[in-house]
Amino acid sequence: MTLNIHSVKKCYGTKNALNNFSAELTNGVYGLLGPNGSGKTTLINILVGLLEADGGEITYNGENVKKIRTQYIDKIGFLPQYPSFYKNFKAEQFLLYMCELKGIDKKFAHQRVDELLQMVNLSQERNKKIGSFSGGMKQRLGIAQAMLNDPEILILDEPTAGLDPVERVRFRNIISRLSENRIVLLATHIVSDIEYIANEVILLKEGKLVAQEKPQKLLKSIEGRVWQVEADETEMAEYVRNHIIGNVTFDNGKCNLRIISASKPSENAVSISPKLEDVFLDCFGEVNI
Amino acid sequence: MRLLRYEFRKLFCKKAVFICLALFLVINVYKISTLPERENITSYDEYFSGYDAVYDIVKGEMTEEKILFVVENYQELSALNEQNAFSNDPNENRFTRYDFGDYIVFMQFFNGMDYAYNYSTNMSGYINLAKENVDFFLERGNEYEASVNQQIVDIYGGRGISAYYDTYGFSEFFEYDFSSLLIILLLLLSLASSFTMESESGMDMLIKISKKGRQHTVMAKTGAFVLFGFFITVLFTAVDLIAFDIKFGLDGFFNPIYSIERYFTFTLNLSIFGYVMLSMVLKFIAFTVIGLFIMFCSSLFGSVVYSFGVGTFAVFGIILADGTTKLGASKFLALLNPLSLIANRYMLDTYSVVNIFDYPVLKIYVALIAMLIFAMVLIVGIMFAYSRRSIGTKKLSLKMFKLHTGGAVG
Repeated sequence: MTLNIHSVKKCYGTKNALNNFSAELTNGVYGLLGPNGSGKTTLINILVGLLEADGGEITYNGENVKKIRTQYIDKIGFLPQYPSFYKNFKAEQFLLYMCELKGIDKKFAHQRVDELLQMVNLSQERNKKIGSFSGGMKQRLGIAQAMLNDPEILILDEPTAGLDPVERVRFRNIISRLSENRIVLLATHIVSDIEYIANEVILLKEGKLVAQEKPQKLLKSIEGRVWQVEADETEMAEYVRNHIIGNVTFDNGKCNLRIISASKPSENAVSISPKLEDVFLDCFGEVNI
Repeated sequence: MRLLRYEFRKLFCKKAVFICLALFLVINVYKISTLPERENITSYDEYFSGYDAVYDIVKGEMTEEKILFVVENYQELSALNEQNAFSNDPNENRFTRYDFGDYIVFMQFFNGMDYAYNYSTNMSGYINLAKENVDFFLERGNEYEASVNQQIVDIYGGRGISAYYDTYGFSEFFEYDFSSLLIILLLLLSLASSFTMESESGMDMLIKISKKGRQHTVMAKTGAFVLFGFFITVLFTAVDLIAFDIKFGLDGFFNPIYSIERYFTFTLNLSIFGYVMLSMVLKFIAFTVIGLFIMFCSSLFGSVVYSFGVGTFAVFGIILADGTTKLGASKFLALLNPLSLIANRYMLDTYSVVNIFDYPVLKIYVALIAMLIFAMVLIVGIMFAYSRRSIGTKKLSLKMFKLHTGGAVG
């Protein structure tokens, strides 16, 4: 299965939200990374058919999705940003409602709901009202509803925002398990989520594709450009002015800076292994702490 | 069908709706209980029991025996009245224990039975005049006026009242509109969020990308509302009937509607029960149009505050417009107001038609057709507005993101 996005454009007034964006997605998890306002949500809304692109084309297995709209929608599972669902619905009831919306046969609906509730570890809470769910439980329920139609394309928009670390890990593991036979597009600005599970990372800036690479390759591209420097407060101000700073920690009156720089920023700078977050900062940089 | 069930649950199976419904029913019953009692010239316990005793004798089919009973008693008491010979002492032979009490009781039954007995004779004067008019206008080639008069003959001809019942309770029942106001308020409270709830819960996007998302969902919501609207119309009508029966007594369900003196020239040949049912259906249609309008507002906006605000403004506009149109600004415009079907008695209590292509059409039919057209237009409008409101989701995401993080979104 291949989802091709060819030169897709979208403008809001004079602002280009997507500018000739192209990408090819096959099986696996794709991390869609970009700062706020980079066009991630716009791209997702176009992919799921909520927004009409101003130009370009999206094909699935070679066919224009506009021409196979119903079949294409049947293949999509979608979890939007910050869904709160219906507070007065119980989890099971909500999933059965979603089955009805998705046109899933009643005969299979109950079985599918059971399977998914088990998969997202909500079997015990199936008769609890969604209003009583934590953020993490809601997101797991969201994943379950997205999986009801056993989609070939699973699109998740900021699925881990607002989750505590335990829920985030749990959520990442679920996504990993789901990625075997489908395209999973995971839009986020939480880099660590992608670092662990993405097969490829799509970097988006101002509506344009910056890179589509495997995480290892991206990490390799920045090798030798991430430094650890120990500095006092005066020196720190100097570093902040002249470099992209990834992280700062304070220890016994001294501060340790993580610096992204093509050249060695100082004599005492030590080269360290890069993380995906460093790639993110390198691409979208201009960060002063 | 299952989608409709889910939509019904989403829209109406809420604590707030149950509480409002219960509260409004209580308020409605209280309001009926505080309606002014029937005006009585005299009132004491024996008077009322005497009235009931006589009513038990005379109610039902008007037989010669019953008529004689009322006429003889009334004449006897009238003669005493003329002679100023009423005794102030209790009299065990009187139904109310007093001459004066019996006189008032029999006067009421005499007048009521006189109206019923002579209805046909009194009406025949109008019918004969209408028949003459038909010939008169046909001779002069005025076919429209001839049709009008022919319609009067067709509607009012052959009418008669064969049974007597005290219909005061029904007369008051048909004048009562407060429950309709409560139903409109309930619709406003429950329907203002009918579509905004989807964007506010983040479900809008999921619904719109689902197979049965757009048109199916709109139809299911509309269907759920129609069911709820019908349920509350029937419920409030039933509660009104029970409360009025307790307060005033309702009798003569199957007597003709024109047996109520106020509806002497009522334009439809129905029983009282028939009019209760018709009025309920007409109100239900009016509530449907008003409800659809509120849903339309909800489909236009992303926030319940706006849809509730605009809906409330529109409902008050409708009420105000009904008042001004009744005052005579434009009687035709009043037909286009859903309230004309709620207070349908104003269109039905006298013969009144609209000239449509030189054919007299009863106003009630014009109003009914107008409301059905409005309902269709509103359903199409909701479908269009809801399907097109996709950009709103982007704005919502932005808004929600800002709420969560204080930033912008990608």
